[in-house]
Amino acid sequence: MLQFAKTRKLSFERSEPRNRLLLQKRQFFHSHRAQPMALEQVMSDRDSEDEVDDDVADFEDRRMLDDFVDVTKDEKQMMHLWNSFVRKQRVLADGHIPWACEAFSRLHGHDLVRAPALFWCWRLFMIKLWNHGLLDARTMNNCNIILEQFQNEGSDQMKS
Amino acid sequence: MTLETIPPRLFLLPSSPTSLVIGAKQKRSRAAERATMVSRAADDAPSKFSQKWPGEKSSECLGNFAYRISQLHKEIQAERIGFVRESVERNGKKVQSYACQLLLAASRNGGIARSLSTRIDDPLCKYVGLAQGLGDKDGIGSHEVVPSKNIKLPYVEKLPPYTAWIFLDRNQRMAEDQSVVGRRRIYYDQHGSETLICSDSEEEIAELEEDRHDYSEGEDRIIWTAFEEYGCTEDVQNILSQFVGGTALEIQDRYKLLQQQSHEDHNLNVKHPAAINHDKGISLEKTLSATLDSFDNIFCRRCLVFDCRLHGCSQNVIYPNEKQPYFYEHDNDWTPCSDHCYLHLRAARKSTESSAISSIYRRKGKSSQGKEEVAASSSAEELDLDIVSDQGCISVNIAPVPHISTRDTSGTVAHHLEKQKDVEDNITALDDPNLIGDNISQGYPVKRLKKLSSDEDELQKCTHFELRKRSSEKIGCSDETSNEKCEDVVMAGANDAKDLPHEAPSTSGSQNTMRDETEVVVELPKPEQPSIMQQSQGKSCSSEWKPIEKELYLKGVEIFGRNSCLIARNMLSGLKTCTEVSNYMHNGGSSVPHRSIAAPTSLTEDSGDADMTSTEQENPIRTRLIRKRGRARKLKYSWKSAGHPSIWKRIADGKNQSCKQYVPCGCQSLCGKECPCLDNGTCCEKYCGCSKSCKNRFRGCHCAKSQCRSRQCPCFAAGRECDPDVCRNCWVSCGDGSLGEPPRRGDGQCGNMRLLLRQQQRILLAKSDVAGWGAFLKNSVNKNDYLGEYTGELISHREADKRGKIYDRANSSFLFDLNDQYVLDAYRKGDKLKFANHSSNPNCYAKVMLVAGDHRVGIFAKERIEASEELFYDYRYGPDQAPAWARKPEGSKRDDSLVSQGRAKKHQSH
Repeated sequence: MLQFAKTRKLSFERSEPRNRLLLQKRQFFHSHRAQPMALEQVMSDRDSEDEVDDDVADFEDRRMLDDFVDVTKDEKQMMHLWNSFVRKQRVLADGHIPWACEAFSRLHGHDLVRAPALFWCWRLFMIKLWNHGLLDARTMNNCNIILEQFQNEGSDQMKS
Repeated sequence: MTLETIPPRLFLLPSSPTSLVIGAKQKRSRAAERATMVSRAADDAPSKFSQKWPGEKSSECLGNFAYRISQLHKEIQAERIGFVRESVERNGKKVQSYACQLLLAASRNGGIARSLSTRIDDPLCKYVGLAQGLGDKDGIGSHEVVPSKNIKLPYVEKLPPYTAWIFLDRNQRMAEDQSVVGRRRIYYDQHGSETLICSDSEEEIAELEEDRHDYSEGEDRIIWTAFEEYGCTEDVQNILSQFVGGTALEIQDRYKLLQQQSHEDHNLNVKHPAAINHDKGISLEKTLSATLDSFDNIFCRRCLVFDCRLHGCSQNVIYPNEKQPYFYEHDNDWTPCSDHCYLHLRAARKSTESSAISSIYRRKGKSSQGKEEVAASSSAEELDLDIVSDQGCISVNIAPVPHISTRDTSGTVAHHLEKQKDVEDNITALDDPNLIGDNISQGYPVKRLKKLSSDEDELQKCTHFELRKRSSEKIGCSDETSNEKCEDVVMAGANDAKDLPHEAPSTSGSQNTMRDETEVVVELPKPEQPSIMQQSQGKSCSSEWKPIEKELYLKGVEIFGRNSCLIARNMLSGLKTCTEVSNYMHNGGSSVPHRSIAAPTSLTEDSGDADMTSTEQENPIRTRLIRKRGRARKLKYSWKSAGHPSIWKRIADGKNQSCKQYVPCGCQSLCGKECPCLDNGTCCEKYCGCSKSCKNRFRGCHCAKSQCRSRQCPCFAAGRECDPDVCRNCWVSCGDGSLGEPPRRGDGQCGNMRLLLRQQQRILLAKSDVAGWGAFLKNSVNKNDYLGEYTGELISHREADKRGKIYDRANSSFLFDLNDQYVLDAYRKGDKLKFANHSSNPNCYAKVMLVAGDHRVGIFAKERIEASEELFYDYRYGPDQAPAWARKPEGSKRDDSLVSQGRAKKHQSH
């Protein structure tokens, strides 16, 4: 659990009854549709209006990437997987990249080894990350070992 | 009209004098075209005419040309008619098939087919009086209620005007098609209740009138054919401008554009056949940089995503100046990476030295033998001569080293190897410290040299092995000269003997300085060696290594050093085995890596530099744009210093100066006077190309437990959020937990990354107590708590000026000055904090923070705020910019409406 979410919850629980009274006095509206809000919605700790729905964001991302004409299908797919990963895993800092690459290799390993073109996109992207000094050689090697394992698993399954 | 009567014969007369005005020419040609259309006198091909009357060529051509165009015109029209007819038919069929289904369905349902018309005649219920049932919650039954005339509708409070907007969780740069600059904007004026057009400056009107000719496909074809067949002359342009419309110049431009397009199409067509090799999943013929091109264009190094909405595509790609250290395999007992590992090979080779010739040797022998024979006659002598001459030269100068290789271009790679070996050894014998000194001063990183030197061991092993083989066997090589040569080499390279102990892998880590020196010299020819490289690549690898494989190999050497296991796994998986990589490394590869280190990096950095200069030129232009704008929220910001580089004080001196947009610099090593960051007055960031020790870098904070919430933290004091990559203790984790977490670093207590981490409060929307909508807080907060970010579209100041005009008239503005280049506009895209109102006595304050190189606006609590309180902050309006309600209390609504009416220009339409 992320740290900031915890602190937010604590402060909320402590002052809930008084806040409830205060919030009842006013009619609030949904910010996206200007429709009146029910009190339960006001009191809810979740604010769906201040976050982007993952599915919607994925859809939007795909749509935006599809607009490129000189990018191959596999490149787009890889880019989409990465964007989605970065958003969901909240990859914010350069220092997160090595972890992200290993986690990405593990998460999408099956898909990557199944599609050689996609695999190459990922490998080239890691080279790009190395060029930027975001990925170190050791982690790149680890990622490729992870993917090799997926490859071997795949070929073992084929045999059996 | 009279011109039309001129008979076509006229155009068979000698060409008109050049002094004729263009207009006259145009008229004539038009007449010609009409005349020919009528009489069909010019049916003959232009070549025929020119043969008959060579002196009258030009006018004849023109006549023909006009005819040709009209023909083309007809052709295109006929095609279009055909196309239209065809699509009408096609669509007719489609519609029919749908209609059939519907009709079928309708007929199946029998009586209901006419339900619409019957319902009109006989509705389920009829309203006689007012719409009385609307407010009722009783349901359908209420329809039966007897109409009564005195029903009161429940009172519904009127909502403030609301414009649909799109939620943004982070700022976005405006998409180009969202610009209002140069567009006619129509808006509804509430006070006058009429639709007005917003254009009140001459400049804008001028922009409107400048409408351009749109070319249809057919017109494009006419232009294309005309220029292709008749050349790009003035006459042709003039005739075309008559036919197609637009000025001659425009037509010429269009032709150029078409040419470009066709060129691109052609290129695309050429590229496609050699596209992706589907077995391998990568195109083997492309270069590495071409393969990485999509990534370079679309990946945002700052946001770590593709197709970033904030920084856009095709950013300058800036690589860090400092390369990462090589990755060493630490365990000494190397385990073979796979069945094809070169370690197997070596083990086999060692144990059975007299056994069958190893694959390296075999291949080498095959590829080089034939060539050796050709070159052998002369090379044996030459070799010695070369060595001698070089020996002489080297003590004086470094330059001759490449000489050997370039002079003896007919030599095989094996020769090169051996020769280089010789030269090395000779140099080692000289043991000239000056050389090394020179070399280092030339800026070759020592690290790299060391790395290579360890590989050199292997190389030497290989050569030794080979030499021994050759001399002992003498059978494999049919020509004695080559053997002699080998022996020469062995003799000349007397130093090799003492290298032998180094062969064992366990000792490869420990290199004596002598080794390094040897290496240093080998490095030297690097920049001047293209000729050998091409040669050696071409000969030793035959056709086996595709360009991309070679480049991947070189990249691999750059990343992993000369470790064939790692290179094969990470760079050439599926393409080459470890053995192949190792062979390549020892054959052609020995000279190739010389380039690998220098060329790719310097190339990219050069281009980066070139790009930087172009942006340098662009930036000042942007910033020079007009600053005055309609009622933007202005934020005064002054830097207060606490432990940051002296450059920052320059900003602090200018009190009302707005923040400067940061653009990463691509400086090499340390930033000097020409650094765009330094020039711009911004700090260098982690995204810059310059070295980490650059004096202009912001170095982050070392705060331990203060949580970086006060001015004691240098980041906080400089109006920056802490950066987990830069600050020592401000680490933040990532991952949602499903895939584990990266290792922790620092204690992660930092309270100055709230925008980055989106640690915001819940904001609610309700009717404001002051004006329109307002933003309210759900939970109570303390002073200086972060409430949320004011997000929006990033637009230029020019764009903001234009948009601001409309916003002023609509009496609501969501513009926020961000820095010298950008204004935030939350009108179309933003978040709920855009509804927070202005107050001169506010409970919140807005602060521009630098977060990972970007300016972002955070809204913070100025005092303790209780739950459900409305949020206000000071927009810092200019004295004459505030709307009436935001001015001093005496300002009235009526006043405001007068002002805005006075400024708007009425749209004079019918």
